[in-house]
Amino acid sequence: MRRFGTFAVLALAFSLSACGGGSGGANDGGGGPRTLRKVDKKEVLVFLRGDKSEILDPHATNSGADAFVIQQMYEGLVQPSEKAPVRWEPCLAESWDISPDFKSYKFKLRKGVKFHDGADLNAAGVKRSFERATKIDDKGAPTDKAAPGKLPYADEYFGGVLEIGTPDEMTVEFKLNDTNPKFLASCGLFAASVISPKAIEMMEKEADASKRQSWLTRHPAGTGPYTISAEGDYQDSANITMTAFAGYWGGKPEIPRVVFNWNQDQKVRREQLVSGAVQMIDSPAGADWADLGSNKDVVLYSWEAENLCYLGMNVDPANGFITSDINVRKAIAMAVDRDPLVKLYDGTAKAHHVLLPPTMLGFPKDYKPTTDEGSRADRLAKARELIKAAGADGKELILALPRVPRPYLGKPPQIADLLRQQIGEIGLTLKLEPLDMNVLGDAISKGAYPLVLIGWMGETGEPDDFWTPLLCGRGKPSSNNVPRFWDKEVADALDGALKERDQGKRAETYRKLETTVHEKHRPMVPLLTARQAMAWRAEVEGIFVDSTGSYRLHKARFK
Amino acid sequence: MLTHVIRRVLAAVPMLAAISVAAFLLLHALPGDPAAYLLGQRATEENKRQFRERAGLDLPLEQQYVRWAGGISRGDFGESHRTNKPVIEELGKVIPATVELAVVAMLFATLIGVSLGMLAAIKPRSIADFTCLGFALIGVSVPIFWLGFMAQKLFAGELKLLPFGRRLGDYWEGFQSETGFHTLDAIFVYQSPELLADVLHHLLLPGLVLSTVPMALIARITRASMLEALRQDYVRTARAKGVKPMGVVMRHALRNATIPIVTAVATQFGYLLGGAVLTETIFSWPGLGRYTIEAIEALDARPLQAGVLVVATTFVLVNLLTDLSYAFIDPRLRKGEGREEVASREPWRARLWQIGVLVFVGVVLSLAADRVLGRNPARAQAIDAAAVVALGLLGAWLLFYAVKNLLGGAAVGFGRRLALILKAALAGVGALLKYVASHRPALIGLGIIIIVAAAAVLAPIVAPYGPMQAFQDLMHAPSSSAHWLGTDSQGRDLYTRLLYGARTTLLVALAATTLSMFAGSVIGAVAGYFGRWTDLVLMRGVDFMMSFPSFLLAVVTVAVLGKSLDNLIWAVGIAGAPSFARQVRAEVLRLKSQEFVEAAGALGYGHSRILLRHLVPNCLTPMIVLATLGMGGSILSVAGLAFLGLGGDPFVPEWGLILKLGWDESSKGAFQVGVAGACIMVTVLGFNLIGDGLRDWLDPRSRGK
Repeated sequence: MRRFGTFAVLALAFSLSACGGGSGGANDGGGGPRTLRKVDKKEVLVFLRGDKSEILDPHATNSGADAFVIQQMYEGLVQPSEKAPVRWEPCLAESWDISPDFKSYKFKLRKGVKFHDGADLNAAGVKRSFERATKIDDKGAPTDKAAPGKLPYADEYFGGVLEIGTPDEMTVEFKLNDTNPKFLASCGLFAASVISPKAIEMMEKEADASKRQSWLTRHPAGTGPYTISAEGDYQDSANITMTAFAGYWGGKPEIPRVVFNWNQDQKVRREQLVSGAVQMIDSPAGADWADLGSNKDVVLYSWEAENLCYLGMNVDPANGFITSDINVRKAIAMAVDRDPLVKLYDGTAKAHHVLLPPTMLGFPKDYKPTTDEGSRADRLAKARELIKAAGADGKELILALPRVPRPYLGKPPQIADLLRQQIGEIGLTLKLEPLDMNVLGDAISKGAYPLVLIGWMGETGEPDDFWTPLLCGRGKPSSNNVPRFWDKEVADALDGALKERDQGKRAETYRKLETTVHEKHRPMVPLLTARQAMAWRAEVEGIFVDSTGSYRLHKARFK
Repeated sequence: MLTHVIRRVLAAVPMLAAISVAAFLLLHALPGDPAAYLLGQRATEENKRQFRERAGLDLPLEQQYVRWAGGISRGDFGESHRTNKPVIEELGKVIPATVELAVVAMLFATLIGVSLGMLAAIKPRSIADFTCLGFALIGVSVPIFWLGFMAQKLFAGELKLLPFGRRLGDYWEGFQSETGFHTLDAIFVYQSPELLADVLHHLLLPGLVLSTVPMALIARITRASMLEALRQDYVRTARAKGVKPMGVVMRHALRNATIPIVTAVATQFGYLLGGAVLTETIFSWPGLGRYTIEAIEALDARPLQAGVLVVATTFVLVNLLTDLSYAFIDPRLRKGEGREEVASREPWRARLWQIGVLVFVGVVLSLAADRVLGRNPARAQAIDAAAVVALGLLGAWLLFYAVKNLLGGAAVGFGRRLALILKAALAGVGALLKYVASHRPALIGLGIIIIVAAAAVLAPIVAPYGPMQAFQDLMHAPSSSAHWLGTDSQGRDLYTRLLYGARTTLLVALAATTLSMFAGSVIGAVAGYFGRWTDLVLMRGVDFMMSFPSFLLAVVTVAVLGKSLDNLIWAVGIAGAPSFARQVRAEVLRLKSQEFVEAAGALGYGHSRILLRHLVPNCLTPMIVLATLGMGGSILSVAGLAFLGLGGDPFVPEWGLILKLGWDESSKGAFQVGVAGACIMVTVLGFNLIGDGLRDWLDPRSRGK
């Protein structure tokens, strides 16, 4: 009896703990057993990812992991081409007209498109969706005034929209306050996804802001090939189920269900794919590419992504670093040997010498900065002379780096350590300082470090999205401008390129700019571009990665 | 009994209040602007200003606390800036996941642990006993994330017997958890045996992996308690009266050995509720520990506060219920009687350990010197030499102190005193060596630690290369005559890095354990000696710290202090201090009433002299045992933190970091993971073997058994 008492107390402890958490169910329950069906394995594509999707509201997130799931369910007016370089192709809009001054964009909508909740696509709906995406005080907005800053793309990409007109039921016209040649690309971002007006109306009625914020994790509201069809589909950010949308305008996907699971460990993801426990994984470790590639049960797909890893050198004399001397910067550039850095990526990266990635318009295929020419021994000798001439011999410099890996920078401490050794050979001592991204971001905007190992990822295929944030800014260096470099000649050339309609001329301007910047100013040492990859079981086919690096699952099927 | 219950319940109330204050203050303790932690990094300055005003972040702290606590009392834990969801909604999912896993793990741990412990106690020195002890030792020595991955690879990857992780298979259409507990959902909501089987199937592997540490501890405690109980007179009487062996074990011995076992089970259950971070990570288990870690990674303040609050509150409640359960188990408590602790030790033997303590001090000093002077490699040799000199000086001083202390007041000349000292020391060392020689596990442990320590000390001489020297053409090279264990992803010699890694690992663990020991001892000694309000205040502070699972406490400390090697030492050190405080307090309480202490008081000695000269030296024995065992725990904690990306300096070789770097290399780093994991496991095992041996040696009851 007493022993029973002991266990009773433990049982009570257990139940109390349980009560502490409250119940997780959202339904009222009651009645008999609920229905449940175990589906056939060929009906489900299980995708194990390294990131979770916390927010499934396209207007409320800037996370790439959220975007990948959102893109299976929501669509914009235009979509990126399947193959690089990025071209914007019709999606919910069948065609468009852009005014010569890039201040007006008129889209003709596709007919017969239905939202998951049964609503029809029309101009009024598109207008309503854009209003929600851009206005913080919109009634249906995924946020409330208490938490501003939760429409991350609103200002940067849609801040210039003056008015949204609907000349007819199937035409939407955006009038902008200034010239913006990049607006078409903005309309292809996941943040410009069109949400059903019916759903927005429902959200407007939801008084509880927190429920409004997670409304789209429980309700279908897009036009895409997959949908969240039932409340339990979004179990949590690590376990999301989507079902094929029968009314998809592009044809119903063949695989009825897709499950997104999560495990942040590359090793564990690889094991699960190889054993067949899951059908698809993302970002396999570079060290596993060869193994996975030679495994007949697995398909490894890798692509050149729009990214760049570089060493930024602070040029601003106001910050008081010796890197403000062009000769010191040139010497550092000469000291860098990219081959060992690339080796750290196990063959998944390529040495890179300029700002724009190879897939991008304006990439100068035949140009290599003079500091990168010649044998390493010659370069080192020249660099040592420059350092001595600049009086920088024996000086210590801090190299700041992100503490955790980034998509373009797989192994920050290892790469930084190699750079320390290489630059050490010319008489400079590098002190490495790993920082959390929020601290590093803040330090970059203030120009707090002479050297920063960092990188950049594009989203739109637009060269200006590399040039302006990294080496320019509106009248002053932008917050992401690591070298704190701003030059009027460069700024004017970029402005001209942006407004140029002739793609050939634009490309030429960007190519010339690379030469000007790297020969005349040398504010950064581009190091490498990293390839990206994903892998899936050989029994699945039809998965593809579009030109912006987003994966698309609607054409997937089991063999 | 009612008084006991009321007293315990009332004591828990201020504790819960203190926990809530600590959880609240976390937001302000994190470096930077609290508004950034609540809004996320994309918020502009204007956003933050508006938010501060609206959320009352400009108000005085006490008003903010009242506001926050008021929200909590209404079930409003705030909102996650990462997910935009109310924290209470997320807690409703993660808490049941953790509880379900912890319950299963505890079932395994209790059933297997108690059975193994009993078997070992019934037949001491049998194969069953050695198996139990060996299993228990390995259970507490292996890094759990490593074990989890290996189990996954074997049972899920190779044998395909069990799933890799997660709570449920991916092929259920229409499943929606009603209760949060998938087992209960399967039984009551869906009434589906197939679903229940799938849920249990998913619980098996993480449950087993998670159960290893508690299982090992429960097995050890059961064995020790049962051995003790089986030696008692009433057991002999029962046997003499002809009670069947099974009856003696179950009805007489087990019943009386239950209190320590129940304590162990409950404490471990409390730890599992909040401390299953690593297992939850490997098995993609969406539980509370993982939730808290993710909040730290994303600097998401509200979920972090809620996670800490819930974990600590649960821990306190579980401990409270355990305390209350004693009243049911122990009839003496029901009648309001206390239990008297009686034990006697030989004081001279304890004093030998002063040497050890002072060596610890030397190491801490050298580490502090390292910190002050910076880690410039050019100065490293000088610092090492200085550390050796400092240790030598300390050793000499120690010898003098030991002489003076041991023979203080004796009316003999210095030469005679020295002779007596040497004789006593030699006798003590001789006895220890004799014991160690006859106690094979301790001998093995000692051997391991000597080898590891020698590797650490001699690394600059023995290692063929520098720890950061990279052969850029030799990345991931296999073993060769030039690189015995091959090279890592940067072409650095793995053997060299492991040697230097031993140095950092041991130093970090030593420094952390020393910090725990000193902080804990001061608190425990002062609390035990002065008693009354001092005791009440200090020990409630200790109880407060113990209301957090130590690993989670270390994780949160790193989050607050920032990631660095020094902060790692602080984090692991602080997390380990409470157990020392408790141990020392208990010893001081025991010693306080002994004649030699009373005599010192009668002679008019001051408090400080009694504490430092009479009480603390006599507490050293159990402290050293705890410290030896704590070393293993510290090494595992440091490795665990490195695995979670919360390790120290990424440029200083340390075993946890070396393992993590290999881990990130996936298949190419398998060998690196294997050897670094083996180094960690073997060293922890060494410390545990020595700790066990010392404990046995110092406990006259178990010596020679």
